[in-house]
Amino acid sequence: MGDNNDRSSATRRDYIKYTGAASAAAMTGLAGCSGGGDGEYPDGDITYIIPFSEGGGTDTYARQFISHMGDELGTNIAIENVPGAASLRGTGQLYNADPDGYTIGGFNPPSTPVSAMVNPPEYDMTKLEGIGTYARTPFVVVANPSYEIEGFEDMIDRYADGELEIFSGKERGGVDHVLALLMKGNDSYDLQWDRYVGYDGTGPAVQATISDEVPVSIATDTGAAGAAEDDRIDVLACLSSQGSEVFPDIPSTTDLGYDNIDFLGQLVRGVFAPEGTSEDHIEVLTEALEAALQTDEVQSWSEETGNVVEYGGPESASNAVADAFEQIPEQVDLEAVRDAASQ
Amino acid sequence: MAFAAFSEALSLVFSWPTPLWVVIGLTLGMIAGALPGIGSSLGMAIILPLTLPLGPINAIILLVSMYSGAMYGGSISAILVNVPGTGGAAATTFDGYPMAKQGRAIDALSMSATASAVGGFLSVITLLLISPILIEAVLLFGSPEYFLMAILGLSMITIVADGSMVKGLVAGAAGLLITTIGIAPNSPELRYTYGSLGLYDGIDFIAALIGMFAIAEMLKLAGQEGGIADGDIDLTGSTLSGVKETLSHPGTIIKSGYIGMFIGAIPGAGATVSNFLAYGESMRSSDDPGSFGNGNPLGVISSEASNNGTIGGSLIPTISFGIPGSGSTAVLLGGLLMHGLRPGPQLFETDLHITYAFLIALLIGNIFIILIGVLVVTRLAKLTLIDTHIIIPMILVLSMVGGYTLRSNWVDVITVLLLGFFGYIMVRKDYSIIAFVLGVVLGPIAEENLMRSLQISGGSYDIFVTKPLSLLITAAIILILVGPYVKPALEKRLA
Repeated sequence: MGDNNDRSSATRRDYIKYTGAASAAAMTGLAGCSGGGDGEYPDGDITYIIPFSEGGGTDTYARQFISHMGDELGTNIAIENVPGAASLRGTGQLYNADPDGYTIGGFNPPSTPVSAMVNPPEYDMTKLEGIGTYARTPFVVVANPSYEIEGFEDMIDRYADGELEIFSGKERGGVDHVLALLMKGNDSYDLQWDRYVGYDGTGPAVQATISDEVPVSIATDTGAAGAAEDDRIDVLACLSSQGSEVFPDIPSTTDLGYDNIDFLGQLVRGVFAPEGTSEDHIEVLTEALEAALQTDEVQSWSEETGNVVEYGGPESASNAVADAFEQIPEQVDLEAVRDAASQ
Repeated sequence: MAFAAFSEALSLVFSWPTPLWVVIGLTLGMIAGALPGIGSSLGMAIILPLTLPLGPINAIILLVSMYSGAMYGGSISAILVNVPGTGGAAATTFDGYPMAKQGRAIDALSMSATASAVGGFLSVITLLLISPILIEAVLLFGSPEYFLMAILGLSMITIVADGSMVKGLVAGAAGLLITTIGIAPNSPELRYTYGSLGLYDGIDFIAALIGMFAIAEMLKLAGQEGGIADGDIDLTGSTLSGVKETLSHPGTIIKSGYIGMFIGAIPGAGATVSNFLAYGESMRSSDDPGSFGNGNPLGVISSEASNNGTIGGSLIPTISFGIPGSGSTAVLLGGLLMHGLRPGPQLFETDLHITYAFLIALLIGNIFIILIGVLVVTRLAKLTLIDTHIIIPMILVLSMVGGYTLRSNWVDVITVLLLGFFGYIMVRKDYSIIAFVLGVVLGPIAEENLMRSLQISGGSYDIFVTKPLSLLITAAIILILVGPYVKPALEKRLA
């Protein structure tokens, strides 16, 4: 049954790295069904809500694969950017949309869950149904080369000695800040920074590291790539146990013997549907997402631009949200994050 | 290497159909720029996914041409109906619109085209020349310098607020107060959001500008018979006289273009700030500051030269560090990434020909701005003769829709309306609109960078005077603030 539906050649399929092997197997089984019995859905345009502005990372990805997802479904998917409130507004709009399979959206745990934990909105994000994940963006720790920091352990020592005091990343109250607090409070890391300086995005944080306004900063691996290539920054470690495709030679902190902090150490770029969306619809959407990621266009774009595309099933999307909500409050003092203004 | 890259870029830009993309980009940009709320960023975002089949060079050229076209396009509606199509054209309304009311819309339109083109040309040429040392130059600026630049901008209130100084300061403070709505910069603290997610990001300054200028003016026009041009005034002036007049003020164009470029290089500032500063500087250095606001051509020239000048500047952080200073450069950055061009040193080394290609395309684009602006757009001057009963509903609808399209947020529509009434009252009671807008635009930049500088220094204010550059800006601020008091005293003593 899969022959004419499973259009991807073996080589193309090889590009995709399955993070959820079980779900992939389940979907291969379903691959032939959409053209057969259930021809009803979708029979109209689908809206894809992006809770960020045009031109950002999430938007750039979406504008690549969403049209292919529409092609797979035989319909149009219209992108609607609903930026604001640290992505809580667009996510809220997704949450409140009718669960009819015609409104879906994408956000990136743990980023949006952290925003929700710091300033709780009136909806429960964990109730959203996962459709799948399409990429993973690990965080790395970067340093100004003039400090000649010899790896992550050396950095920890220098903070402990008081030689380094300032640690930085994106805005206070965001994922980077929570990561910094986690590493400070966690006995395994024991990263004793004195002051956290927040920047308006990874780009500005990396620039500030290069100009030595701050010695060390958290950055996304893609955000640090350009500066690292030019030796303007040293990349010390990757905060995801799965490592970074951009920096394959950089050790992860788990490689170095520190605790696994994957629930915070990487952005999992996911696609979600409102609570109550029928399982059948989710299956169709998941299948379309997987197929879209395997198209030649998306794959060659990914190869050319270095924007890694990695498919994951519905549960990898749901789990990323659930893990964030379970583990972050246990391990980080959220009150301290909220009170950051007074520090 | 640079020369080889330059000649390769030249052949790229002049090979068909690239020039066509320049013209298409400019035209689309002008239309997007002239429509309030659409502006360059939304227009570019709509086009962005359609550029995929074009290949990187043509795609980026199309996008930067749109950006350039929109910067100029914003002046069209600013002059004709007092609606700044983009934030960068807000100061153009101050003298452009009075000129239109006096029947000199053709003059004003051809001036804005000429000034935009020359200002844009200057900044891009400069960018081409300094590109080898660009990254080092950007690294000189950090959080303390950004904060001081914002304060320098705010100190311009003392110059641009003609009339009562107290009223000027009150208006500026009101603008600053509005920027305290929303999530505080550098801390997750919520301020005046009353549980509404729509208020988390505060008041959008473009919505504020649309309200203050468009709605306020429509309220005023509602009490007036006939068209926008006063009474039975016929359209006077010719396209050529506008061009000549503009070119007879090279000092203003050069100064304003470079103010635009400099401000554009500061993330978060952009054309919305630079056009006011250039306008303020033009007013400060004028022998007859009183004529500003009543149709002084220098007002149009300085504002328009600066907003197109901003383009060259805003490309600096975008292409050197991947930091988008504005909505438009964010979309442009998205375009670069989408087409596999990673901002950073590479764009000045192996990909130098691509960087040169789109800078050359921008240069050529400026020639088209003059041609299209002078030959085609000036014909729109007839709009000022159309009865206000027809114009007002159109502008009201356009402003509301524009407000909503900014962020798909109803708060922005309410902002447009409320600040419209507020602006109307401010004009009636002689409070400075410029002072208010400077507060709205510069408040967030000042606050964010103040907080960050103090985090870095551990609370010490020394950070604002310890580096030569920050010391220099601090001195400039003091000079602007005390200059008007000290100058007459000095002159008296000398006399």
